[in-house]
This record gives sequence, structure tokens and C-alpha cells, in this order.
Amino acid sequence: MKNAARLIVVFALVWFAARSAVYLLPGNPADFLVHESLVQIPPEVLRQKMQLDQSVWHRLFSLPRTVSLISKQNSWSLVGEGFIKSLTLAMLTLMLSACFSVFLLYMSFVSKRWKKFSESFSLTLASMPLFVFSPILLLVFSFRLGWFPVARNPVLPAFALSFYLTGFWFRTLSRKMEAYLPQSAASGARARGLSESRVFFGYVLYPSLGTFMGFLGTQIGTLLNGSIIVEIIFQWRGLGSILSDAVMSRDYPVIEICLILVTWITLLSQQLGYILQRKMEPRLS
Amino acid sequence: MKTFARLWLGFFFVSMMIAAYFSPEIEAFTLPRTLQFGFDVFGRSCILLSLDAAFQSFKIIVPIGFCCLVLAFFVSFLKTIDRPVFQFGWNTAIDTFSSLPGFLIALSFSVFLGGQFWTVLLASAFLVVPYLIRFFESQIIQLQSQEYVFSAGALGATRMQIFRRHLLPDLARSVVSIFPFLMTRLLITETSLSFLGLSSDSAHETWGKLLYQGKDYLLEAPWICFFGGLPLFLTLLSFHILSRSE
Repeated sequence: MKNAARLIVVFALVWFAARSAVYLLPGNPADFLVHESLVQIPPEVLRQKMQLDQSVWHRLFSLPRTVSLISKQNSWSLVGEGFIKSLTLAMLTLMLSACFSVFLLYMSFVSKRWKKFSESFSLTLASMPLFVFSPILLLVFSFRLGWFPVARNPVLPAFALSFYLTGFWFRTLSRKMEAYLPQSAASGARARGLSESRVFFGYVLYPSLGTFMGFLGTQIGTLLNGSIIVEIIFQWRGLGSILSDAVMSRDYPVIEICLILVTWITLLSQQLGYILQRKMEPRLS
Repeated sequence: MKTFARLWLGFFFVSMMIAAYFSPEIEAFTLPRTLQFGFDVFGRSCILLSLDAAFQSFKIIVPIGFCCLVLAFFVSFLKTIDRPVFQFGWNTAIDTFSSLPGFLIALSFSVFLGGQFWTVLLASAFLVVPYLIRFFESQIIQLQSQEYVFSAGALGATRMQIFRRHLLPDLARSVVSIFPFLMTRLLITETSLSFLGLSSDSAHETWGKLLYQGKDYLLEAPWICFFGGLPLFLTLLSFHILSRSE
């Protein structure tokens, strides 16, 4: 109940911040927009489109019902299309990153030599920014080998993003695992002669799944942050790419809606992560 | 590993200082033919450009890092106010800030705020400050349990006096241990934004801008990306190694 109230307050704050951001523009926002806009729109029409002809309070409490200034498409449908594409990319990335991280965790659990390798590998991945790593992947797998098409394919961008995230996730998760190991039943299970994989999956990973879910919930923001670079490089028309284009072309209605949607999705996923964590680890609640 | 990180950072900073000294006329320089590792699309030497880009990137992130630290110190001080309602609000605000996609929010607000510096500052504030605050928070909790802090409170020192005289010096010392992490985050934020064309409005190149330029000539002139990407990768790797060993 407390969390729901908190979430509603934060949702409202985000809404007001996004709806009032236009008043940060210097001077009269409507005049500024007319000068800044790339398309020639009469000032009265632009005022009406941006709901700037209404009072500030009315604008803050009303729904943005505008069309994109550039593509003339409905902003909600434009952002909705981008959202579906971003969701596809995000789900694929989450899956891949979780698999890579669990694999590295398993390797570091079973042998000390592999632990060193996993740590160095994750360090290298975390040090390679997306805009360095993605062109290399594009050059090798799309241009040289021709395995993936350059655009309209989420697999290669998902790989790029998941490699980058694995670098960070492995380090955080291994720290969490190290903290959990002394209180786990892993040593007892090992002493009973169970195989390493059964000990890892049954006595280490499964009991600490709640902590991992909570952590994954907070990572949606990082995922969306990273997706913008990847979407631009791989020409995947998701939310990040739409937002970047809208920023470059000063398409204010699209920016407003993107801002609200992206922030709400992140906050919701974080709450979902916490709920899952509490369900899986009842002692927390 | 640690030696490599220190050696690279040492070499890198000396080269950067030289580049900083010659920065205004760096584009007019010509290197001997054997030292020329390729040119960018405007015919400038990539190796000199990369050094200058490093200097330009650090010129942006150092003041921003300072601003982030000051902000984190200030917000950490608020943590010492021991009232349940305030603590609840404080925790909510920090949790919310740390989970938001700061990069996208900064990108959106860059249109409304105008200046390029503010975009990087806002993105850094979202991406770095919550981590710094959490770090300082844990330090404050540790320090508050120390006897000398209890004694200061018992002798009638105010919250501000305790923070200024006893907590702040220790917190300032702990900045050293978080410094490599701070630099890594800021460097990634700045280069990502300049890769999108939103970081620096000066005529000088930064690493991100160099990579953005090289992206379009990946097949014809891969060395542009190479000279932008390799030093950045090595610098980030060195900072990561140092942050892990702290």
C-alpha cells in the first residue's frame, strides 16, 4: 500500500515535470518553438497543437493530444510502435544477459581458475563502451561475414547490449553470491557428494533468485539507457532512436510523451522487481 | 594488472598534458611520416587528434565530477537528519533517481535546457550521484557509530558541526577510493553524449565525436574509430582495474 502510494506520487511528479518542461524554454515558449521548429507552422496552429493556448494549470492536468511536428503522425502511436520494438530488444537482451551472467557465475563457482577468467572477461566487457563494441560487431558479423542484416534485426543489437550489461551484472551478482554463500546450504550439499551443477543451481542460484530478480528490476533503466546507442548504430527504430530523432529535430510533442512513457516503464519494472523479490524471499516482507 | 593500469594512466596523463599545452595549434602540427597512423576526413592526424580529444573529454568531466561530488556531499548531509518521515522521503527520492534512465531524461531535457554542459551535468547527476550518495550514506552510518562522533554529540555539538568537523574530513578521504569509479561513469556518460552530438559545442573533437565521425567510414577508414576507441577502452579498463583493487 505504501509502495503504491509512493509510486503514484512519483508518477504524478514525472507527469508534471514532463508537461511543464516546455516552460523552461527562454522567453515565450510558443514564439521560441516557432523559431526553433524545422517545419513552417503558423504560430497560432503551433500554439494550439502544443496546447500552449491554454492556461498552465489546464495544460498540466490535460492529456497530451498532439501530432508529431515532423512526421504528422499521432505521437502516441509513433511512440507505441517504438515501445514495442524496444520491448522486443529489451526482452531479448535481458534473456541473453541473464544467461551469460549465470554461465559466468557457474564457471566462477566451480573452479578458481575460471573465476579469474570470468572476472577478467567481465572487466573487459564492462570497459568496452557500446559505441566502440557495436561497430566492431557490425563490421564483423554484418559486413564481413554477412550473418545478420544491418537493419531490421534485433539479434545483433541484443548481443551487443547484453555483452556490455554482462560485464556489470556479473560483477554485481558475483558480489551478491559471495555474500550469500556462507549462509547457504551449498557446503553441506557438496559434502553430501552432489554434483557441482546441482549444488550451484539448487542451493546457490535458486534460493538467491529473489535478490537477482530485484536487481534485474532496477536494471531496466540501464537497459533503456544503453538501447539508445545500440538502436542508432544498428538502425533499430525503438524508443531510444525515436527520442534521439525527436531531440535532433526539436519535435516537442514526441519528446514529452517519450519522457513520460520511458520513466513510467522504468518505475513500474522496478516495482515489479521488488514485488517478485518479496514473493521469492518472504523474510524481506 | 594493477601495474598495467597505473602505467597506462601515467603515460596517458603525460601525453594529455602535452596535448593540452599544444591544444590551440594541434591541428597545424605535422608528424614525421613514420609516426602518421592515418588521417580523419578533414586530413588531420588521428594520433594527435586522439590526444587532443582526451584532453577535451577530461576538460568537461573534471568540473562535472566536482559538481556531482558537491551535490552528493550535500544530499548525504541530509541523511544525518534523523526523522522517520524525512528518511522515508529521502530513501524514496534516491531509489527513484537511481532507477530512472538518466541518459534518456537528460537527452529529452537537453532540448529545453539548451546548453550542452547542462545536458552532461544532468545525465551525470542521474547516473553518478545516486551511487555516490549510497556510498557516502554507508560511510556516514559507519562513522556515526564511532565513539568520537557520539562524544561530540554529547558535548553539545550541532548536527552541522558534527558533519563539518568529524564526518566531512573522513568522507573527503573516502573520495580517493571511489575516484576511479567516478571517472569511469563520467567518461562513459560524456563520450556517449558526444557520440550523439550533445556533449561539447566547441570546435575541438572529443573521443565520442571522433567515434561518431569514424562510424560512417568504418570500412574505408577504420583507423578513425581505432584511435578514438582504443585509448578510451584502455583508460576505462585501467580505471576499472583500479576501482576493483581499492
